Amino acid sequence: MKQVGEALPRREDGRLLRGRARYMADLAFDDSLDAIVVRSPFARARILSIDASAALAADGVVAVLTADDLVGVEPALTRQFYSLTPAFIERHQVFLGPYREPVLARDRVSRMGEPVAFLIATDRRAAEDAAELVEVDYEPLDPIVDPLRAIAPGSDLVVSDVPGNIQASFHIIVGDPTSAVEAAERKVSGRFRIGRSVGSPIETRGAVGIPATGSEPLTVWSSTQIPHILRAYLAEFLRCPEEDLRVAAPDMGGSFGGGIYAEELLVAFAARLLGQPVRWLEDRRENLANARHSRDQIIDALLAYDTSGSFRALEMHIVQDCGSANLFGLTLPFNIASHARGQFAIDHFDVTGLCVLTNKTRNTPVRGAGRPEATFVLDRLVDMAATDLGIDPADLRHRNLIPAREMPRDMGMLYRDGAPMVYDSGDFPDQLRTALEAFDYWGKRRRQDEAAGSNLALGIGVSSHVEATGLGPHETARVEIDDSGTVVLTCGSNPHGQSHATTLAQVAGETLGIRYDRIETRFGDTGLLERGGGTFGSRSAVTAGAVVHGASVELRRRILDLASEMLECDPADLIIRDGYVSPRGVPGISVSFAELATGGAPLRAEDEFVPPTVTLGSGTHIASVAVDRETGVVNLTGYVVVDDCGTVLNPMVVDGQQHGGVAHGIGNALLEEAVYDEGGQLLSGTFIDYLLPTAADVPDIEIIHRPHPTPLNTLGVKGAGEGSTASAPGAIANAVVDALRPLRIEINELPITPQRLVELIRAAEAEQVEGLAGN
Amino acid sequence: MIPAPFSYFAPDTLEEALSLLGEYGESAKILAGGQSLLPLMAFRLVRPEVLVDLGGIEALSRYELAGGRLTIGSMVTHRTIELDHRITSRCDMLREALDVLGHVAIRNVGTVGGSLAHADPAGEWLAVALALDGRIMVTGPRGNRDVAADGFATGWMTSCLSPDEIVTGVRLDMPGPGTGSAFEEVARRHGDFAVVGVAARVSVEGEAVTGARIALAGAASTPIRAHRAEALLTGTTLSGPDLDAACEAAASETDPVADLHGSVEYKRRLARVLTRRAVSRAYRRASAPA
Repeated sequence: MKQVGEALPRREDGRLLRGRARYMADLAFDDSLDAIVVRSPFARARILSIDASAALAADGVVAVLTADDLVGVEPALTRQFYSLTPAFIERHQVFLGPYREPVLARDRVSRMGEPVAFLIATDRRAAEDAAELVEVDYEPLDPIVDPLRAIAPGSDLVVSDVPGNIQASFHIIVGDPTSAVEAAERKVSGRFRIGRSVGSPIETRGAVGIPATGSEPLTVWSSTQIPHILRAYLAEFLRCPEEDLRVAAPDMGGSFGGGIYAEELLVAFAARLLGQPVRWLEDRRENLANARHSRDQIIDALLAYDTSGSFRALEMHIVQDCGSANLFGLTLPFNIASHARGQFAIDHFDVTGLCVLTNKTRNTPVRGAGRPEATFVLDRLVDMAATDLGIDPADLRHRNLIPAREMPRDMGMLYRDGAPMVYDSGDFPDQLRTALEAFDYWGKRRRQDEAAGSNLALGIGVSSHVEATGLGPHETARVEIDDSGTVVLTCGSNPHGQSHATTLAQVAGETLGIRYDRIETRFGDTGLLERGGGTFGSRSAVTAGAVVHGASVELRRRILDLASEMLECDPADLIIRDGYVSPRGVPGISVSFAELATGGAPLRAEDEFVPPTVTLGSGTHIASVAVDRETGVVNLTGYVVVDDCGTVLNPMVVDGQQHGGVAHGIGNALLEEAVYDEGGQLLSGTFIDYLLPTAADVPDIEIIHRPHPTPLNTLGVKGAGEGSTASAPGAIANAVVDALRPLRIEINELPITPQRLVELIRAAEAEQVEGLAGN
Repeated sequence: MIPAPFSYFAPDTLEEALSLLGEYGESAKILAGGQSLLPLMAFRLVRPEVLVDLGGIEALSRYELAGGRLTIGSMVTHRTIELDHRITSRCDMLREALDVLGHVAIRNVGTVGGSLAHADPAGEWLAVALALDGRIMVTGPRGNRDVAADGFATGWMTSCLSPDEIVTGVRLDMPGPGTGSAFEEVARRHGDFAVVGVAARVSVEGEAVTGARIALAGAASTPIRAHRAEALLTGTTLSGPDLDAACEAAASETDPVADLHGSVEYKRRLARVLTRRAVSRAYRRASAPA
């Protein structure tokens, strides 16, 4: 039965829509205690004293832990999330300084919201009441908020062992950019600012620690994307072997990025200390202030080209505001660099990246993680060049796209995993042509002016992106048949909205000859599978898809071998249908999976997939907007996505990823901004001020799949989770600039708020008036 | 996000509610839907020791449209008015304001009186009341009184109510023949608080404006009337220069507070732009044959 590629209904929905999911707050354990984090109200301060006596005396309080109480464990996180190869470090002139993030602050706090104490009470209400009684005496210091000031000579240091506040840096040179820029006939350049945003799932974070019992090890349930990696961090923190720990993720109401957080470690420590389960559930204010901050770069960029419109060179200088600690090292600015040339043939390339510490919340990769930033900057530069040359942007794009015949194309640099960065597959010109046609681009261009109203200006913007997906290092899966004959699929990668239980079961089901909805699936539990990767970087369809396929192929072989013995028939003559194996053309004779499974040796196959490197998804978006010239309000009026994620496992699921990705990108383009004041106080602390896109802000989106399977895995799958976030800001920004083209404004900053847009419009109008007066 | 401890009372009558307010004084807060109060309590920005819920007082949940006047009990929900076609067909301003007042879920629970008493500077109801010559009905230990909407709010989220008084309702003059109305608003997203909103009512005889009311939300520390702009419009036929002058006047009558969604300058600009749009539409409606 063909399943891969079919728009089969999501198996998750019935449970989720009937309220049967079990999220973090739904997990119940006997004698469970509730914890709350006492956080720093200051961006930078010395801690003079902490007095928890009043809190300890309050009703229901069990313990108040401070840094002094963290005995016998590592006091800080110090291991960086990704490791880099020596060759990579040398090739791209990498500097990587120390990372240190206290689990609980001891003498000083480096950001608003930093955990200072962990208060544990019999229930949440008691914990919230008592948390107000913990008295912390701070001596506030001037915070370092602006990353450009942080790297200026003589700046105070966020942490003493990171001189100049530069925690990491790199320099990529491809070709001979200096000569190419010099030789180029034309150039456009600008300083681009990408606002800080917050990956905001419906469910906030949460974790519960459960003490070891005779049969079960110390267990942490966490709303994490990376149970196996969290277990490694926990083992390091608790100074115990990984085997003594179990980490599992329950149902999750979204995530969009993450990493490792102090609270996940603290619940384990507290549970072990107190001998009772300890649960921590984040509230929305904590979430907006402390979790999944991302983007936040200042990028100086220059595109050099000839009057013929041929791109010659691209330069970028990236200043990444990392906040007070940089768990992820080069990840964000290097992702910008890796995706900076997008779909275009640009042979000469020069990028530097600086990871700068400031007294803000730690920056983290969130959906797109550098791709939206890179794509926005490039999209803007391309449209600036088109204006400069008097060419339609779609034409200029077409002239510079890498042609399909040049695939695979070596990009002359290494990816973060140390492998040469190679665009492995895709047909970019076809993608653009398809998008232009679907959008009726030329027709809409012709009608653009007559359709505009007195206050409304209409614009069209194009964006194209690439998306390196399916990052390693590995993923593991097991496929087995239990005694009842049920196929059970277990995978290290766990979902937080990606439809693993549907798509991975489609892969296993098609291989094993059983419907996907009859397969039992289990994800994200170190107690079930010794190794596992996780879900991040658009990797699950690629890595989990490939490993589930590998394990399923192996299990199929074993099923057929066993059946061939029982049926006395050559395996090549056997077919599997709906969980029964029978000789081809003899449906009356068969043996069921259940019969095979009870036959003795376990019917099981486990596999590990180690991707050679990332594989390249890509997409082209076209957006149209109506801009209210007087109020600066931007409305999206049309949206087309053409997407290449290789083999499409389930088009409905990929469409869902595209819808969500575009919505996320709309948020980044027009709405979402985490704003700090000069004192390092977060001003956008609630959903009244931090604006997520709602259904009313998202237009109908037409999605067209133009798949070009990758040769890098057996399924031909490329990731699809982040690409749509990448292109939305560039497409929308270009459309807004296009709408206002008589004014020749440039949009270099995200989000495009109505006020910012009005200011740009007014400045441009004033300039035009001045120009007329000058004439 | 759990409020500080409080006691909760749900009286059946106004008399009971008044006596509770008398007993607990400033430590009590009135719960009238809770769409603003409860989030403030969850953040512990407000810590009443006592909540007096008016939801059980039936007399406050009635409304009546009679003789060109709409009287709304304070516990009537936004949604109740929104769904009453007799009302919204009589008053475009009200229909347009209710369409952007929060979301359906909020309008199902939030109340007219709660919104008025909260006196949010961006509150749509108070702006509408200002533009429809509204009178806010108040009861207290010293008896009943009527307060003109113009003067009800005295500062940022404060009103002329004393802590032992209760808003019982509001009376609004519905636009009659020869009168048009409109509500214009810019919010960052549909259903968000207005960055700036403008309610306009214009009466016309022939082509001349015989009277105008312009109220702005989000343009000062309280919703305000643009008295000068109203005066400038009266007697004109809304020619370009006259309208320009009135819109400039409206903008200059504002005193906006900058926030993440708009600077003072941007909000002034919106006041000017939205006044033009609201007044023009109200004028067109007034002039249109019935």
